[in-house]
This record gives sequence, C-alpha cells and structure tokens, in this order.
Amino acid sequence: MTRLARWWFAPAPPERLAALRIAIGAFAVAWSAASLGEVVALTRLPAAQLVPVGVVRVLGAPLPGVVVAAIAVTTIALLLAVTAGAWFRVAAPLAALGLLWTTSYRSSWGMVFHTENLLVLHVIALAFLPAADAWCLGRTARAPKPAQDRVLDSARAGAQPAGYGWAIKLLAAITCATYVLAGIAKLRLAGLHWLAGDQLRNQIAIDNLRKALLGSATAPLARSMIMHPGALVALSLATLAIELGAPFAMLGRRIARVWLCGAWGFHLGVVLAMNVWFLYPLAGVAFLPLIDAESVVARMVAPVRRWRQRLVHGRADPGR
Amino acid sequence: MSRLAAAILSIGLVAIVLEPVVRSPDNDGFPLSTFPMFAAPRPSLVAVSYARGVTGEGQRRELTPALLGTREVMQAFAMLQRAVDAGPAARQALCQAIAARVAAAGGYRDVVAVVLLAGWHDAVDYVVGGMRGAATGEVTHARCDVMRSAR
Repeated sequence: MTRLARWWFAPAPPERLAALRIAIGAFAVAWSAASLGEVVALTRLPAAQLVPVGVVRVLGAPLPGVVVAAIAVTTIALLLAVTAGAWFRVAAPLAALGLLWTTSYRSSWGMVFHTENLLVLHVIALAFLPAADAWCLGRTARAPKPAQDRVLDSARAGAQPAGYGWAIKLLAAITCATYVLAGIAKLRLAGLHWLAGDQLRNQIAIDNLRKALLGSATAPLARSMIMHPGALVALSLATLAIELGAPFAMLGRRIARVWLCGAWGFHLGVVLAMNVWFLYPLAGVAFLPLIDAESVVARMVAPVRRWRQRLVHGRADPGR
Repeated sequence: MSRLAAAILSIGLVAIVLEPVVRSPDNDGFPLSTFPMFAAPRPSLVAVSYARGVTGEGQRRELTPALLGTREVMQAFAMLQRAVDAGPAARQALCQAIAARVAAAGGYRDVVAVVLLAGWHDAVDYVVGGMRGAATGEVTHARCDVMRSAR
C-alpha cells in the first residue's frame, strides 16, 4: 500500500499540472467555439427529436434557443478563465458544469457524441485539482503564495501534503479508463469473436454506407481495408491491445510513449477507415497527462510569450 | 490539499469514470459512456433510411445532412431512423421540415419533392463496389412537395 501511495503521490512540478490546465482548457475553448453554431442549430429541431441524456434528463422539453446559446457562450468565457488560471476556484467548477450541460444537450438529439466524453471528464476533474498554482494570468500582480509555500502550509497544518503528481496521475488514469471501457465493451458485446476481423469489417462498411447514403464524405481507406481480411484481423488485435493495455501507460515514460503512439495511430486509423475524428486524442491533448506536459505547452506558448514580451518591452521603452 | 483528501478524490473520480462497466453495455450515457459504438456485432446486410430530393424529371438527388437539420451525419442518420420508426405522422413532419430547408437552400432549385426511403444494403458490397449499389426492398415512407414562394 505504501508503495502504491509513494507511486501515486510521487512529486511533480506545479507547472506540469498548470500546463495540463492550459492545454485542456484551450482545447475546450476551441471545441466549444467551433461547435457553437451546431448547438444553436439544434434549437430549431422539432421538440419530438429531443432524447435527453445525462444531466439533460432533467428537461421535459427543449430549452429556448436564447438560453442554449447563453449557456454555451458563458461556458466559453468561463473556459477562457480556466485556461488563463483566473478566478480558478469559481470559474473551473462553473466551466465544468457549463461544458457538461452543453455537450450533454448536443448529445440529446438522437446521437451521443463519444468524441466529447474524455474532454468533459478532464474538465470536470480539473475543477477539483490545484491546477492554478502556477502559470496563472495576473498571479504576479496579485502576488499570492507560491505553490511550494502552499504545500509547506499543508505540511505545517499536520496533514501530509499531496503535491501535484497525484493530480496529473488522476488525469492520466481518466484517459486510460475510457480506453479500457471501450475495450471491455467489445468483449462484453462481441466476445473474442471481435478479433476475427469481420466485426471490424462490418463496422467500417456500415459506417461508410450511412455516410454515403446521407451525402457525407466517406473514408479514404475504407475500401482498401475491407478488401484485406488479414489486415482487419491485425487491426482488431491492435485495437483491443491498445484499449485494454492503456493502464500500462501509467507505469513509466517509455511505455507511455509507446502506448500513446499506438493510441494516436489507432485514432488516425479510425479517420482513414471511417472518417470519424476524435480530435481530442488526435490533437494529443488527451495524452498529455502521460508525458511532461509543461515542456510541450511551454514550447507551444513560447511565440506568444515572446510576442508579449516584445509588446511590453516596446511600450516601456518607446525610444527603441 | 492533504494526501488523504487527494486519495479519496482520486478513488472517487476513477470509480465514477469506471461506473459504466457495471451497467449493461447497451445502456449508454454521457459523459459516462459504455462505449458501445463499434463494439456490438453487426451483420453486413443492414436496413438504412435516407432522404432524397426528386427533380421535375423524376431524377433523385442526394441531400446533405444540413438539409436534414444538422451538419453531423450520424445525428442526421439517427433523426431519420427515429422518425421512420415513430410512424407516419413523424415521417411526414420530418419530410416537410426537410422540404422547407430544400426550398430555402440555393442549389436545389430543380428539386420539387422530398422522399424518405428505407432499403436493404449489403454494406461490404457497397463499399467494395466503390460506394455504389442499389438498395433491395426499397420502401418510400413519406413524400412531400417542396413549396417555393412565387417571386
């Protein structure tokens, strides 16, 4: 038990958790903004089409369009605050509730969007975590206690400080859990027969058939994959190995890298075979809890920081 | 945060995320999903519902998912299927809603009617045949005229 606790509570820098907050928050902002039009369009559908799922089950009828739009826009504003680390204790739970509501509402019109589950779960988890102890907008201006001091305060109060490593592992565990659930679903619904390849073949074929009949784009490699039964068996095996093997990715950086390459490749395969885009993992954000997120995010925000520094420097020294 | 609080929170959140494993796999939810998509066994031969525009010459035209009320193709498919399953009134209501969008959309001026159809397709043959193939046992569930206001 102590070994497990030592592993779970292994120290990690607050910047790593902050980097996850920035990456997950920024993705949620972009995703919510991109799907805003579609969410508003749903309000024009007949009330009979509403099939409430999740928290939307409290509704007996669709909400007025203006309310749906107001919740969605407020959620985007709150997610921006979360990303910046501003008013985090208030903004993060409200943003999580807003995102949960908006995405559940979007999934309440006959089709559950499985592309959004993990993002929503990560944003909900972030609301419980000390993810705004570093890299926060306005933090230097207000000059609160540094993250390390908070940990020391916790120690002085008699409790063993948890630090930040556990929070990162929790986000990683949520990522891995969703893949394991997908693998278990295949075994529960189809058993080991899922590995024979014909199940995957039929899934690819039916998905593309529906898209073609409804006037939408089909996948570029669907035909090639279906015509190679051996490849389908290999892909079925790889899919199940990636899904059920996800927890191993938490055991170390090297195995995490191998797994996330496999998982990313799996999602690329889904695009090529079915034209289904799981953008959260495809963008890599879903996998960031498994690697040193702070270095990745620091590299990505470096141009913005340089631009900001130049701007501030330029204003402070107009003679240059 | 103390280690005890963090441990309780960790166990609680992971347990909640894993909750779908004790549910029937067909009982999907959001965001706690059983992930039944791509998991359930499916035969290659499937009944599919779809909407088509009909021109003045009787030719069929494909309609985009947006004309069905959503840009999401699988959501459009689910809407169609539910309307077909719900009976004549729901089919006619959906057909008329599509016809109204077709009337307002540019590029569909030759479409004079909308039909809701269902037919059997062998999905594998359809894809192998280059996304082409005729449905067998096709049934017309609803037909409605595209009403355009005279200018």
